[in-house]
Amino acid sequence: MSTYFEHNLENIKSKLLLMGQLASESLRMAIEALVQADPVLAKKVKEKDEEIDELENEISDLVTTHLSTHSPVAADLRLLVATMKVSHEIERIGDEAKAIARRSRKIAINHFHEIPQMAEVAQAMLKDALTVFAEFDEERAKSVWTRDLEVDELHGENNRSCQNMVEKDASLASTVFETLFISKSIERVADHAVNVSKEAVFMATSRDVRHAPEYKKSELRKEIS
Amino acid sequence: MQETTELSPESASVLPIHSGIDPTISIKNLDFAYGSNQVLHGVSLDIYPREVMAFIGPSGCGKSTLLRCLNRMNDLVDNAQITKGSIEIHGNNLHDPSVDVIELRKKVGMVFQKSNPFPKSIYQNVAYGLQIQGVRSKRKVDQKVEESLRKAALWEEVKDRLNENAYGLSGGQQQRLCIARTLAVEPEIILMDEPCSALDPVATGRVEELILGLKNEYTIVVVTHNMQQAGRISDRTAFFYLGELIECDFTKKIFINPDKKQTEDYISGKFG
Repeated sequence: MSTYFEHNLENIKSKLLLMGQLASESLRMAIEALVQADPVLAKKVKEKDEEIDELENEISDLVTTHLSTHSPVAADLRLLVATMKVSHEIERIGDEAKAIARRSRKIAINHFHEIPQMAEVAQAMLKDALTVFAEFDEERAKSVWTRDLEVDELHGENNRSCQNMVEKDASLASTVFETLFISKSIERVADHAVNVSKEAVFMATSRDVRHAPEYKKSELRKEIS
Repeated sequence: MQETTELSPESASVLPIHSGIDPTISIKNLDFAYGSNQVLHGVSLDIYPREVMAFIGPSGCGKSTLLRCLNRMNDLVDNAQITKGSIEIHGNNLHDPSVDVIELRKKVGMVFQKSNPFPKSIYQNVAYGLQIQGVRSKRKVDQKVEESLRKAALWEEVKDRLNENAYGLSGGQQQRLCIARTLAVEPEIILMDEPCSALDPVATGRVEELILGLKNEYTIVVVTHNMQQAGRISDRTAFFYLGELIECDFTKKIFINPDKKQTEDYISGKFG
């Protein structure tokens, strides 16, 4: 194989990992903007999202060109197919970070509930999912899926405590809604991280585990309990 | 590398439609040599009715030699011989002394890399095989010529000029004429040795469409250097390297997740 061909694939993979790093950083900044009530930091998240979007376009263009000019097969083909899907997942993570940053301006610190803890788990999941994509490790991929259950639990707790708050004091409704939206955004980030790790499994092994019964949440819960 | 010629239980599996059906061609532990130069080593492979099997591999890997073994075309080469193993069609050894080679080549037709029409009319090219078989009825020959040209997706293009010289056809049309000529003698198996290598993309597309249509009636074995072509037209693909069958599996499996690294390296263009 020509080194040009290899260089192209490496370049695409590097850009995807860079995009992942930016999304991870963006999420960290959004949570920090929320915790510290820092509007300047929140604005920076928006700028980062634009960088992420640009990278998604660039990756899409590179993959399309490579597919049309090199007709890749086997591992090379799987890398490109997975890259297209993962870049979309990461782009959505960037959007969720932007949404969190935007809402961070609207709520007070005492209504965060389990959000910082949720964000910490989701960030670790994203980091591991990207690591699995860069260097495949099935156990680590699976640990991403199981931790998604933890995020779901925390999101559920948020829902319940928000409901209690509104019942006690209806004037908090607006803040509670913002909190719930943020909680939902983090829960979605965790879902995207799961999808990234599942694409990594496809890329490395060609197994499509997206809808595999053994990896459904209900089955994973049974396994853990 | 003997172990690489053994197919794993998974890769030896057949298409679901073939389950329970006996293979049309059964190649058993075949060694083949040109003089002292052994070019095939212990190849074992079954090819089933109405499937398209693609042989791929770098130049000199033995894929065309194996193809030519399937209708004993190698008999025409000095010092070429099977030194071990056998090839069976429906359980009958191809090299049994009782086998009539002319009959065999009717049953196992061949289309070559370069189209090779006879310097005769379009009609005569297709009718020739029938006439040397002794078919005298003009009505029967006419019917067969039309039927064969239709199957080869050429009838509409040539029906008004059947008596013109075949050399006046384009390269793609000439190749389809050669396919029609092969079909006229009612083969069961069609061997194709890089049938599109001299054709432009449009002509290639037509021949590939034709192959996909023909597989409803015939067993087809295609040698190709074009990986995408193997991907487009074949049900299963066999990869050969240095005279050994490295891997044979469903084409989708070969092109998405081959078992052997050598296969992956070859189809990805890393060697060959």
